[in-house]
Amino acid sequence: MREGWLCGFGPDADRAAALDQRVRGGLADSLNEIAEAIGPRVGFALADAAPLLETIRRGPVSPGVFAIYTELVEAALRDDVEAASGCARALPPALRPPPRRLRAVTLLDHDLGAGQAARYRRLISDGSDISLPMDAVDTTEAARATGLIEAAVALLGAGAPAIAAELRVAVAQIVLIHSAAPAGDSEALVFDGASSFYLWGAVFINSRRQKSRVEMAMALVHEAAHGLLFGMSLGAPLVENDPAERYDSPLRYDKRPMDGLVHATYVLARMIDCLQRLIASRALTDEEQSWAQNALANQRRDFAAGLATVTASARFTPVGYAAFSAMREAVSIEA
Amino acid sequence: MSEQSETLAEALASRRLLGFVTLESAKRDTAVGSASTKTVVTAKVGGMKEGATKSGAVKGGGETN
Repeated sequence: MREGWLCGFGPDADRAAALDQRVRGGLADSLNEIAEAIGPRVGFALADAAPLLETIRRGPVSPGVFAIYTELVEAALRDDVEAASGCARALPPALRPPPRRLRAVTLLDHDLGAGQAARYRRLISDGSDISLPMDAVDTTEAARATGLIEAAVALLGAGAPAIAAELRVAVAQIVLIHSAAPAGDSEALVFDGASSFYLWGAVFINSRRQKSRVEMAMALVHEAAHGLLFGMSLGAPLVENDPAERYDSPLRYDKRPMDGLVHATYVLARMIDCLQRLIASRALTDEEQSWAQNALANQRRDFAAGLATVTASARFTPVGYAAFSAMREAVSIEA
Repeated sequence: MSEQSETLAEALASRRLLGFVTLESAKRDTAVGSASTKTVVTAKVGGMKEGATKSGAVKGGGETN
């Protein structure tokens, strides 16, 4: 029963909190195992770790804690004692400030903590053959985007209050970045937004591409939906299809792994649900209403195409099946 | 506690690692940049809006992911 509820579709702040608690529990369990296995060798003995683990289990923590954990594991796996020890030392200060929710930050240590900007950048962009250019936004853009986020959340609060409530729980940090293709690099990936299980609770937004409060609201809803899927699966794939398999995507030229198609289709469903709520609420201006109707038509088209491919070829994990089934019951593709 | 002759990786081999699952999958994830399951990037290339996981090739066309 509880597993089914955790994989439900409609916006639910309590479910988002339960997912956060489960992910934090997994983090604490894993850190406990690391302390048992290698703690004394990397300055993370069980006795020292215990109060940290209690803090992690007790309530929300910064996405930066997950970033440090990931780097600690990666350092240990390559047997880098010095780097692993550095991560162990970085954990206590990262846990000290209780996190605020929906906090807009830039990709700078000043906002994120010592050494964190480099970690965030690497965890969002490492491993790709394609460059993922990004910089911190300047103070002027940070102020503009922060105002837009406040307006977006207020809009959701008026027009889709359940979504606003869920966002306040699901998103701890909104990392504002600027991304543009370097001159002459036609293959550079210029992104609108990004999320990573390794930065649980953070969403990256290329803020200059969000021109209005409704666009910013949709960007937040989009990235938060990825996060909810990560939470349901604890970062694992939602399908058993071989990641090397590729399928035609309605969303891209290139063929995509099935897990990406499931993510995309689910996120589109979440955006459709949000647009429907906003349109019905009359919280939008006439101009926004027109934008939302157009966006809804486009997203219904893309959703239908993604759904067809997923339905034909996905071999779901139990969690993936539960999440996708709940989505299909909730969202209609008809206009 | 592990024996000192063990590498850190060997000491963690049977341990539960959040987001990594097992040592072997952790190595695989690290090698391919966490592949398609840990990070999703909504992006565009060459002026065409589209979406990509960070390990994905990127060319044009859609809206999200």
